[in-house]
Amino acid sequence: MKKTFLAVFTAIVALYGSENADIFTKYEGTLRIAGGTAHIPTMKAVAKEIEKSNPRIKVAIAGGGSGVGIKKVGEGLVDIGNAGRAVTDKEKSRYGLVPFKWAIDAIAVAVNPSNPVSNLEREKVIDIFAGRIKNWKEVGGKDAPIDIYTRDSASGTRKVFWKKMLSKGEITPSANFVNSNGAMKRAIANDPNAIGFVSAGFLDDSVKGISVDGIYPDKKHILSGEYGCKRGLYSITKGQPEGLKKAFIDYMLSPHVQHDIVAKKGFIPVR
Amino acid sequence: MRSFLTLSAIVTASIVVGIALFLLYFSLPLLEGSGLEKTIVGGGDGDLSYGVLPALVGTLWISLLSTLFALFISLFTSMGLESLSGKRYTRFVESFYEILSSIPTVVYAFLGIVLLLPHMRALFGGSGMSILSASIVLSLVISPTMILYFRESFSTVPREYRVVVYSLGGDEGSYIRRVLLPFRAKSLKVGTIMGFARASGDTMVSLMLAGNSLEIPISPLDGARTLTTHIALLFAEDFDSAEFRSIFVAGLILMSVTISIIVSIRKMGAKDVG
Repeated sequence: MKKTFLAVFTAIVALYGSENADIFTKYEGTLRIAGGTAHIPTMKAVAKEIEKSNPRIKVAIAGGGSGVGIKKVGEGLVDIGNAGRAVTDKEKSRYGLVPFKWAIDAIAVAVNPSNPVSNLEREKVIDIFAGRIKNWKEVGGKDAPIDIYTRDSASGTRKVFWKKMLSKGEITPSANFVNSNGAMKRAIANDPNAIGFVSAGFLDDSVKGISVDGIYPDKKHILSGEYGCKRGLYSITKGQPEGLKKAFIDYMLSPHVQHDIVAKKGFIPVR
Repeated sequence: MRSFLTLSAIVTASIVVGIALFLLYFSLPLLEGSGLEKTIVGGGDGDLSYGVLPALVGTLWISLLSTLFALFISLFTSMGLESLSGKRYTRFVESFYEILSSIPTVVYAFLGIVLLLPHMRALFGGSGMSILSASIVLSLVISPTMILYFRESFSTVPREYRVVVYSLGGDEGSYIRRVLLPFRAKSLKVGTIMGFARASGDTMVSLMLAGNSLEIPISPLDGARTLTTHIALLFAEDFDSAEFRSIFVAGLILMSVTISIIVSIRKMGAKDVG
């Protein structure tokens, strides 16, 4: 009985899945995507569905950071560029870029799960990243030096965090640099005294997001605007998309992907 | 045939000159715009400074330290192998160094993250990412090449020399001290410089283990970035930004370092006598 149920269930899921990615049946070829690293888990899940429903399509996803995504799509090196920040007018006009926003994401101040600190005033966050507060005990933690992690300048996450959380305050030059949201997560998970910033979609048991001025970056506070350090996740094409590119973007914005993938990965759907 | 060979020689040589000119051309706006001093010591506004001095100091720290470690490892390993020479399994052992030297550096770097960083954190505190961590792993990256080079040069010492040492009442130790090392001093220098060149050009190990911080490092436990990681981290910058231009200056400096290494090898003469 249990087995039959499982089989029927699997069949329904398979049918449902294939129906959703059905729009891709008439296309084939490779879709090259690069850029923002916060996008990667969602994009990979979407790519898996598309490739499953149509094995003649290959979706290649690379990181690099928002700056890389914008530059590569602008230069025509990839079909779709990802960015975790808005495209500037200069970039838009230079390359003729068309951005599509498919999720809203907060950028969380993150620490190691073993760290007792779970709330910081924003002023303290600014002071920590500037290197003015050097020990966790100054903000109610244990007596240990603070290890600061930041991202390279191609990072959209960094640009948004710097502007909206640090009010364009200095990030100490002695900070460690990592080059993706994934690397940031791994670094913080391994270092009990770490502090860094990461896409809210990357928070889990291994990295702890903390409240700023008592507000935790969850869906409720992001949508109400109480948590201000948020950004859109964009996929960008050069010129209006067509063919496979258009099908992919439409699919990203479809109710199925928005609710079953984007939301499940910890981001806020736009539709 | 002859003219074809001359042509390919000219093409290859002009590529080198071309790269140098290309780097210089793209560095000039920054060198002229904000001046050499600002380009080197930094002077970026607010968010990120673009000085290449921290990266230059970081490169020197990491390459010197890792070459020092690697020299110890390689010298003792190749001397040890020398005393085993002639044994059947020596060749078998050597094949391991060949395999080691062909493993991509990103694999070494990843193993460093998993196996070395937790210990560095426990020993010295902090993030564990430091010049020391990167140098330890980088020394393992360059050692196999240095060992193979040393072995190669040791094997050209005529067999009779060892026989003579033994017949004079010497042992393996006196053979190594009195014959092998003095007769192969040049090769040891050249091999070490080659190791240094490889260390200074590596990107992945420093990128993943050195912390990439922008401050000028003063101790081996500080984080640092190298010229190569500086380039890797900034290449995604806006084309017009000073940060992006600074990677060409970094490339120019890196190229001068490499060229001076090659010139110094040439000056030394690659071959020992005897």
